[in-house]
Amino acid sequence: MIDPYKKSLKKNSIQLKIGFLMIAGVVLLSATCYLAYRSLSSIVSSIQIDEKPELGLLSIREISMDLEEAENCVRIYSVTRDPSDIQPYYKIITNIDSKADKLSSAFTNDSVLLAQADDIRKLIEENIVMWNELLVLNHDDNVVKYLRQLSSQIDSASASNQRREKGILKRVFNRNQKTLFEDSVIIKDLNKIVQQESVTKSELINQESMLAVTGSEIKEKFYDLIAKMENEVTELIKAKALAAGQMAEKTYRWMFLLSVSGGLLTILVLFIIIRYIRKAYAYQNALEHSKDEAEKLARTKELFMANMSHEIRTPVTAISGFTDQLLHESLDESITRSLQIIKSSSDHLVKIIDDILDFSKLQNNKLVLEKVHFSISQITQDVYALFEKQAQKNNTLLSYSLSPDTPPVLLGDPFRLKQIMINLVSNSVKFTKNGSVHFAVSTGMRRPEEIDLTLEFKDTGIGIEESKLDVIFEDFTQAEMSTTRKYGGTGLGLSIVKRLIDLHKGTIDIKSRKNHGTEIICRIPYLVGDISQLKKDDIPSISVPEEISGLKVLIVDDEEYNRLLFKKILNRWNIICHEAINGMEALETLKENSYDLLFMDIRMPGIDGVKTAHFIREEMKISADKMPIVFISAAPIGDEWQKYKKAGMNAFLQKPFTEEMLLTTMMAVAENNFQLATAYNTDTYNNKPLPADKINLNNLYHISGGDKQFVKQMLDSFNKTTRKGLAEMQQAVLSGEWESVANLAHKMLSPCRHIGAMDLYNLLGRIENSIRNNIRTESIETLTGKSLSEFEIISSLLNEHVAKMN
Amino acid sequence: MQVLFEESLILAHCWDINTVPKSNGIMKKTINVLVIEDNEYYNNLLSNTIQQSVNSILLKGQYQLILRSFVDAGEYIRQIKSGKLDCKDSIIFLDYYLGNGINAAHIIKLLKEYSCDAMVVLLSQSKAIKERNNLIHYDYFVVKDNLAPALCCLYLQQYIENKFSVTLD
Repeated sequence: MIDPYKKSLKKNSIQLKIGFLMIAGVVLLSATCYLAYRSLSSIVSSIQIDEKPELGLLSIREISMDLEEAENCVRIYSVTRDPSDIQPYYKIITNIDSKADKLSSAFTNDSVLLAQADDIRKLIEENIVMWNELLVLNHDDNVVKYLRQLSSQIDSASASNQRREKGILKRVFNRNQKTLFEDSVIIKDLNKIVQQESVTKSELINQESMLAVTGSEIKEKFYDLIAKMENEVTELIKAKALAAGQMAEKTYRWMFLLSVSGGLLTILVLFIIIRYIRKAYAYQNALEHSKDEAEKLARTKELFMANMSHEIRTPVTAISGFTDQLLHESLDESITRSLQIIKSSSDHLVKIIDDILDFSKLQNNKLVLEKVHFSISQITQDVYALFEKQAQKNNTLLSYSLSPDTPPVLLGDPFRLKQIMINLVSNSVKFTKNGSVHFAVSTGMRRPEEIDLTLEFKDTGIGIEESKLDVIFEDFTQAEMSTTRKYGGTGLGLSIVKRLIDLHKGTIDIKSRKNHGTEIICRIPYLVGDISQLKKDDIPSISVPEEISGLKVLIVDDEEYNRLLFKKILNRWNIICHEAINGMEALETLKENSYDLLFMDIRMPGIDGVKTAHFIREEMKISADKMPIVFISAAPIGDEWQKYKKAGMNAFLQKPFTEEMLLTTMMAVAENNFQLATAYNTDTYNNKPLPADKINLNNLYHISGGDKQFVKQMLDSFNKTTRKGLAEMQQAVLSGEWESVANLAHKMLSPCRHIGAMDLYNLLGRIENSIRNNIRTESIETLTGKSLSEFEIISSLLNEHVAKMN
Repeated sequence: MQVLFEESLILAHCWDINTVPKSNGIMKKTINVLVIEDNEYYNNLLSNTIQQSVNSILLKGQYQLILRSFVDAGEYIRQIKSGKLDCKDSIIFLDYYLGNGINAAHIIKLLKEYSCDAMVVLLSQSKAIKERNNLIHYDYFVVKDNLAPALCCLYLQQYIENKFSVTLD
């Protein structure tokens, strides 16, 4: 057996496994996505970083352009000496500082480039200083020029122009004011100045050359720096590309690993799922198998129940029947009392078996409701009569009422209605001591032709606890477990009532209080019946009608006591009773005797009742009006009615039966136009054909099923074998081999009988008999001769017949 | 009684009726029927009647009939003894007087020797045989009257029903 807990655990573990693997899969997937994202973003960021060196280059270009412009400005200024020309220079040098800063900031990450940038910065500063000096020198140079101009003017123009020149000089050269006042000193000074000027000039040249050197140096440095930077940038790009490649490779590796593990995971999940499905499939198969087994078991159970009830009912038939018979005989009181106990016990047993059978039928929906006209007052009276004594014993007052508006005749199943009432009244009576039980029948109109029959059962018995009211209609249930011990019963009564009422499409309500009594109300729909259709099926007393005495009846039953019971009852009614223990014997008996009525058990060893009946009707041609057949069985007839009827049954009698039941059945058969009173003394089955006919081929035609070729073949065969047989017989007679003669005659008997050649049959029979019994009334020779001539007649008749067939 | 096995006297006659082809793959339930009756006419009659009675069952396709009929009981005995024939699960329709001094008792004894549990339907012209032979084992006794073939079919039907647990209508 499989532990259900274990099974559920297994199922859970599968769910856990799959859940875990799914989560792992999701984690893997997200990890892959994350990695891919990160790698991608790092690659993108590396591309973004590459823009920075470009910025550096740009600023270098700007600076170099600025420097060139500044130099240009200086040069232009040195030529023009126009202050406006020098203006851009100052602008540039104020900006160049910030540009140099920008450049340095561009290389904050690269120490080499930063150092270079600083170098450039220094050089720029140096350059600027030099330019400034140059500018200053240029100023000086202007003075020299002016001075030289002046000295030449002084030299050439003399003192007349001195005032004006003085004013000009005063205005322009404050510094050389003194020289204007004293010419010699001035000349001296001028010379000094010229000297100084030449020094300055050389200084200027020097400065310029230095400036050129520094300019070129700066340019060189710039180029160097640019080259370096470009180199650096290329290196950087290379490094980045390498790093990106590495990163991509790493990412690919990771992606590959993750994809592979994802794939493996998927395969694993698939494998687990497939395994689970396969297991589930196997379980399903096992389940189906066990379902089949269970159904088989249920069928076996049903069959077992049917068989057992049959087996139990059969002996009960004997017990109940014989007890009834014995009670009819005058015996002493103690025996009568014992017999009464036996009777009531066996009746009780039958009741229980009936309950079980009914229940099983109801459970399998095999119970079909009858539709007959019945008297409701008769049923209530019967039910009352049934429990009157029992109620008296319990010191309980049993009463009933039937409302006057109830239609006297209803159409439905009286047996089942009675069963419902009996079950409910019996419960009430059983559970009520020293109280009262009342049942009332009334009617609620539905439609003119349909009524609701209301049955109310009220008692003052032990009652049922309200909590138990729901369960009492369940199978095998009694309100208290102790009830069975105290009061007996199968616990099927109410369950059967409920199911029967459901079958009628009726309702049942129950009200009860513990120790105060119970009230049950049933409503069952019935059609209004027709009084003229009412059958007088209740025979008030056993007054056996005169006409049945002298009848000849055959009983076929394998159970001896059943046959004995029949014999005992029927003999008392002056009925001639023969017995057969099985179907074969019945058929043999029927071949030789005729009967007015046949009672036959359905279940018998060998050939069963149905087959025997069929054979009697179809093959032996004994019709129902010559000999009606009554089937007897311990099992209720149920839906087998049609099958039995087809086999040749005319009535059915269920075991165990009472005398009344037996008589009722016999009278019912009689009423169905079967003249039971007339005894048939003539042979029912006459296997001798009419004397006028030499042959009778009816049997052969019957067997052939209309196949003429077959009939012809058979007749040819008969002609040939019989002719041969007779010739051989004649030979044997001549040589006196009498044993052979008898055998040969015997061999020919059956075919002769079959084609209805009865004269020849009789002749051959006489030959065989006289040889075997050694009685020679006629000479064998004569008989053989007669046989031969008889055969010739038959042969010619057969030939004629065959010719006609063509 | 002397048992004669003279070749010249034996009318060898044995035919098998295998009504339903076995080819369609389904394991068919086999109904083995044996008829031993020395009168050729009656033998044919019985065999044909039996075959016709089971035709409706055979048409359903689940059964096959193997019907062997012997006019010569000696031939049957020879075939059994030589192992050509087995007699498992059969129903035997057996005439009492089988010619050549052989009777049903011999056959039944032989069947017992070969531990054959066949159902035996004994046929005879007179009921006296039944009374005389209450020591030999047989299952049914049929008097060879007009009803005999029908009765044989009835017994066969019952046999089939019991053996295969079916109800035939």
